[in-house]
Formats: sequence, C-alpha cells, structure tokens
Amino acid sequence: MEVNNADVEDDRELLQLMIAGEEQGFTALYRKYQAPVYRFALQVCGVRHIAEEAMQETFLSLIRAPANYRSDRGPLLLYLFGIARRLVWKSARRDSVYSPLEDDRDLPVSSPAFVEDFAQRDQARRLHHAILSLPRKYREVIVLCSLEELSYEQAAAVVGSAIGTVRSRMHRAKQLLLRKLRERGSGAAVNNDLFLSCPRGLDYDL
Amino acid sequence: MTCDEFEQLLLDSQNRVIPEGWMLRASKAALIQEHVNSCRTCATRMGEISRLEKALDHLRVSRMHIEAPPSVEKELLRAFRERAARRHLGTRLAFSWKLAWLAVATLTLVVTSLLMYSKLKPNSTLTEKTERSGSERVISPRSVPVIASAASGIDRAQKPSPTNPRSTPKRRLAQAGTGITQAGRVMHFVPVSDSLSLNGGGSVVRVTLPVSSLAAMGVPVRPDLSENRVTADVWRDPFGAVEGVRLVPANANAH
Repeated sequence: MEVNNADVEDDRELLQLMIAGEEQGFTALYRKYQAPVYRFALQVCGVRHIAEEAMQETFLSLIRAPANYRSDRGPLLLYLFGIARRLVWKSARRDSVYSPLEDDRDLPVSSPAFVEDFAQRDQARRLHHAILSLPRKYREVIVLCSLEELSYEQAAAVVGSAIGTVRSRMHRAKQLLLRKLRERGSGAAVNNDLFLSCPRGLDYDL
Repeated sequence: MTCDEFEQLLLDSQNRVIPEGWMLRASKAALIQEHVNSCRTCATRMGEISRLEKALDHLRVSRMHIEAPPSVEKELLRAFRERAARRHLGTRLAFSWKLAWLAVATLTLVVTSLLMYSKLKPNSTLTEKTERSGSERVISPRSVPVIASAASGIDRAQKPSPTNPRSTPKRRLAQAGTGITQAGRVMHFVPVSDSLSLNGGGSVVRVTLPVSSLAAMGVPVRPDLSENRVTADVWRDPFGAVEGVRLVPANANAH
C-alpha cells in the first residue's frame, strides 16, 4: 500500500475529527487501514485469532491515545503497522502455540482467475507456508516489502532498524525462501515447477 | 562480474519481474546478460528469483481482499463511543474541579494574608519615646537591639497586659525602671505567650543567669540587684549573637 503526502494530510484531519469525538473520523480511518493492518498481522503470524486480537488492540490504542501518533514521524499506516507488529509478537510469545495457517482454511480466494488456476493457488499457498516458516526478522520484512509493498525505508521505520539492515534481511529472506521451496519441492534441481509441486501434508486452502 | 556480485544485484532488485523490469544501466545489464550466458548456475538462479518474485506478487494479489471481520469494527466503534462519552464527562468534571480549586486557592490566600497581617502587626513596630521631647516615633524591631523586661530590676508587677502591649505607652514609660530611662528609650515587654518569628533562623534558649549577665547583654539593670538570678529566654541569631532577652515569670518557669 503506497502512502503519499496527501494521505498524511487526510489522516491528520481524520485524526483531529476523531480526537474531537467525531465517530466519522474514526470510522474513516478504520476503514482505510483495517485491511492492511489485519493482513499484515495475519501474514506475519498466520493465526487468525492472534491477527484479529492484534488488529483490535492496535486500533484501541489509537482510540485511547491518538496523540501518541505524530505525523512528522511518518504516515499513520506505518505507526499502526509498528503497533500491530509488537502486539503480534507479544501474543505469539504469550500463546507460545505456533501453528501457522491452522485457521487459514476458510480464507476466501480473491480473484476468479486464481480460483480457476489451481496451480497458482497452490503455489501461493506453498509460498505462504514457506514465509511463515522463516525466522521472525526475515518474515516481517518479506511481508512488509513484498506483500504490503512498503519501501525499504518505510519497512525500516516499522521494524525500527536501519535501511541497510532491512535490505540485508530481505536478501537473506529471499535466499531462505528459495532454499525452503527447493527442499519442499521435488528435491531435484530447480525447474519450472518450483512453486507448483506441492508437498504432502499441506492440504489447507488459502 | 562474479557469481556473488550477480546474485547481489539480482536480490537487490525491487522489481517484481526479472529481467523485464530490470532497471540498470545498459552497460551493467549487458554484463549481467553476459554472465548469465556464460554461467549456467547463475542463469538457473536468475530463473529461480524471477519465479519467486512472481509468486510473491501472486500471493500479494491473492490476499488483497482480506479484511478484518465486521465484528471487530463493531467492537471498536462501541469502545470509541464509550471513550468519547467518558472524555466529554471528564472535560466537564475537570472544568468544575478547576473552578473549585481556584476558589479554594483564593480563599486560602486571603486567609493566610489576613493571619500574617494580624500576626505581624503587634510586633512589626515598636514605639520609641524620649523623655526629653515626649515625641513618639515608630521604629522597626531590628533597630531595638534588646527586647527586655522593663522590670530588669525584677519588678514583674509592673508588666503591662500581654494581650495589648502597645495600649499604654505613656504608662509604660512611667513604669520603666531607672535603667530604662537612663538608656533614653522604653523597652517593651515581649509577653511569654508571644511566639517569636524565627523565619530568619536562630533559636530561643531558656537559661537561668545572674542579673549582671543581663547587663553584659546590654540590658540596663539596677546595680543593687546584680547578684540576683533570673530566668530568661534568650533569642539568638543563626550566628549565636543575642538578638533579644525575655524574662520569664516565676510561675511560667514552674511549668
């Protein structure tokens, strides 16, 4: 999700409305950002109830202390990502049950093209599983940069690291992803079906 | 170009599709192409990364539709309404509290000022009167080095009423002993019940001492009574210098 200056201005106005107690302000902000925040949480932790809880708490913290967000430090979306990230890891540690995608069976499929193209669905499913098996620091940058389309700079603001750190983590994450996909694939040399060969035991749907 | 450099470039690319979206200078692109043509491993690598990028893109698109359940929005809206209502009430209460505090603070200030004024008033000025001119002028307490009983000759019966020590200056002048009139000034009583203001520091010590010691402190005494002993409160400044002496009546000493 791209963020520009106009968005920042809009967000500031909506936030002012929200601080003044106007429900429209909050509703507009929520509808604008609930999807990316929830998606981020879900893709990072892979467990639906943790993602819902993290997202709810993220917006609750905005309701409780809207003044904590300072527009000069970056767009509101990045601020929300930062809160959600902390909450997701906190919940994951607390639950200490990490079963990626166990609740993910009934997620609806997006475009008809994907429904028709089972191979691509399967490919996406396998890739997501591989992402969830990455160590935390690599997983979050892959989700932020590749799936949420943030720049390295914006991702660095969310995870609280330097841009160089994010870049090197992205490199490492992609290398790990390739290795995992290769291992779970045919086991042979990489071929065109790298992302199409589905390992046994992974029978969930996206 | 080495294989490591090639992989670094490949991974550093933010483009989704490789090599279609490859944003490099022609010279570098030519180098890459040359390396791919000559290195079978890197060619495979390039294909892998290209497919990975495509797959990530597919995954991103396939998840675009995902949204939080509507129940979350309901919960959050309820929380927001509660919060807004509480904040509204809080603002009103805070305003009322501010008014109340302002009233209390003003009242306290007025009462304190009145108390201080009434406390300071009797001791703030002393009357000095000379026998010769009979004129009276008001002087500050610091200008009187010793505040002592006019009855340095231990004549406490002549002590004026402690409740109103300034009521009859002329009478006090008449009551003053020989030593007082020699000094040319009236020494007022400081009633035992009075509290001294020690804001500037210092201390009050109760001592029993011969009358001659009072003379050493500058209190005029009758020579024939210099052997007698009296009990007095001595007020010393922070440096130990005597600021004042107050004779203590015998009955007060018993307590």
